[in-house]
Amino acid sequence: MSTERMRGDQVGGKRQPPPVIGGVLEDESVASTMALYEALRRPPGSDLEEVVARLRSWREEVMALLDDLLGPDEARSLFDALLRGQIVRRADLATRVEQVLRANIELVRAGG
Amino acid sequence: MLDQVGYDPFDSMLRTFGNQVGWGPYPLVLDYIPRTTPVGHATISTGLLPKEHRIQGRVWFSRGSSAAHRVEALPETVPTPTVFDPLRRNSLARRLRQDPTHRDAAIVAAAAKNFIPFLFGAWDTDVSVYPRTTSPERDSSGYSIDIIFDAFSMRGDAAVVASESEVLSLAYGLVDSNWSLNWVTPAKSSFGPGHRRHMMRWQVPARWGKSRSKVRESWRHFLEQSIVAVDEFYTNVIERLLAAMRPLPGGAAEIALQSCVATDSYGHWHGPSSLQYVRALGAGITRAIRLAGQASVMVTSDHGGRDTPAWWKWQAGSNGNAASITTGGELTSLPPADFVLEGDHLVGYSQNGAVNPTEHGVRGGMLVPVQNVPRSYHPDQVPSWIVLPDIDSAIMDLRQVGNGGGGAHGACEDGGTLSPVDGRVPLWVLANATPSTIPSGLEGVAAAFLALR
Repeated sequence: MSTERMRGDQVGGKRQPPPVIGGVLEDESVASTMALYEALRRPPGSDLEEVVARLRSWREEVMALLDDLLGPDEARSLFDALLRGQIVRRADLATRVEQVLRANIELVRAGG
Repeated sequence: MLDQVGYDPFDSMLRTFGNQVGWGPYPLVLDYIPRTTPVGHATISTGLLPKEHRIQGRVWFSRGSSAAHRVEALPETVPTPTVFDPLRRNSLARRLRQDPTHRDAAIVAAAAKNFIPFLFGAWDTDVSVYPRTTSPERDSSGYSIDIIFDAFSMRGDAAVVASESEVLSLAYGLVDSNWSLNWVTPAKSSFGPGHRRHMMRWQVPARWGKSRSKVRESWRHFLEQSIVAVDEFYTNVIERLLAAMRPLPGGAAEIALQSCVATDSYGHWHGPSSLQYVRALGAGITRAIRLAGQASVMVTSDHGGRDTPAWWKWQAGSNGNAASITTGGELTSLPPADFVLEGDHLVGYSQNGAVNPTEHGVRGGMLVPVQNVPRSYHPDQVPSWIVLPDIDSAIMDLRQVGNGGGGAHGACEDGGTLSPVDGRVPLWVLANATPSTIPSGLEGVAAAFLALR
């Protein structure tokens, strides 16, 4: 049995997105909060399409979170801006979302 | 059961209570992987090794099947016959019922994770108590968390009904007036004619907000303050239900099977070196000593814990990229598989082709003695590979925000071998006489419990 660390060139095989079962990605709260966090922290040149797709797939949950944090009017305009791919510089909001995300991740790690 | 308590911290803490308290602690070896809550509880309950009881984690697969087995489905469905049969046939509650001494015993199980009473053999208890979900869920008027009282006997059913007001009072001891607590009619359950489900709904304060993420953040903060009290709540509920079933025929015993979650929660959130963890461990020991005033008590744990100041980033594949893990700055692609992040192990199940456990049962950057695999996995459920983290790290899919901290459980690698950390848990007995059976492994706990008087 090999004791070497696995390297990419050792594994080969068809590259395909695996189903994610179990781990934290399955968790709705973590996945939706992560989508918003990544959108707020999106660096220039990052994969805009994927960021927007994730926001869309978690639209209801992300909107509800923004609504809780900002109120309905500001939440709507900010969400629309993010969907258009605009870079939103709101460090205060990103920090707040990160706190929510961390709490959700901790719950998942501890199994509730 | 004190969840996530290794032998050494328990022994150390017990010394602060004085050396004359109880028998032990005796060290129990966990000679298998993964070392997680479902696997540990099933091993303790059934007296079987994981390869025999077949509970391999929260989620796992049988070879050649893409249908996942999930312990969290146990409260909602009659379990898959083949996989869950060894658990049902050998559970602690079933074996208590088969013991002539305990045939008429009143048995109540309680835990803060929904699958745990079923690992104890809920179907053979009088009442099993647990939260339906691990955090509040949306309902028609906000968010709430439901506590299930599954009655599997007529006297258990009567005990729940007779205890409703008192249990409600106990629950209000945990929350403030912004919560709303009520007994509600549960959805129909499917455990047969001898079963009746009761449910208490805890409606969270409206100020927690409208999004699930925000509600769960508030829930996390609530648990931070209240998780020790949650364990105490379940203890009190067990005592109330047992009292409501008196008198028992022929002086039969009253048996409580409780899994306490506070050590596990604080272990994950802050690490087992934290003051919070020490507080939870002390509370668990204190509770056991209090209960020993009225009965024999056995205390053990399902797995140990370790501090994880570092983390390994695991990322599922997307846009044609393979799944990967980053260890020590080195990005490693992983073979296509069904991935399960099980505790702090990353487990890959391949649905293609046969798996040879000798060659492929455990593999990765971390060497695990292959002889452990046969003790761990049923031949039909051997994964393709497992990545074990190093001793300081947890594997997490946290992307930018994950920077370590807290703690994890399960087996880890140290210097190319399976680390002894997490490898032992305590067995501590509070009884009038020396325990007649002192096991050496976790799978011996059930026999020792059955011999307890």
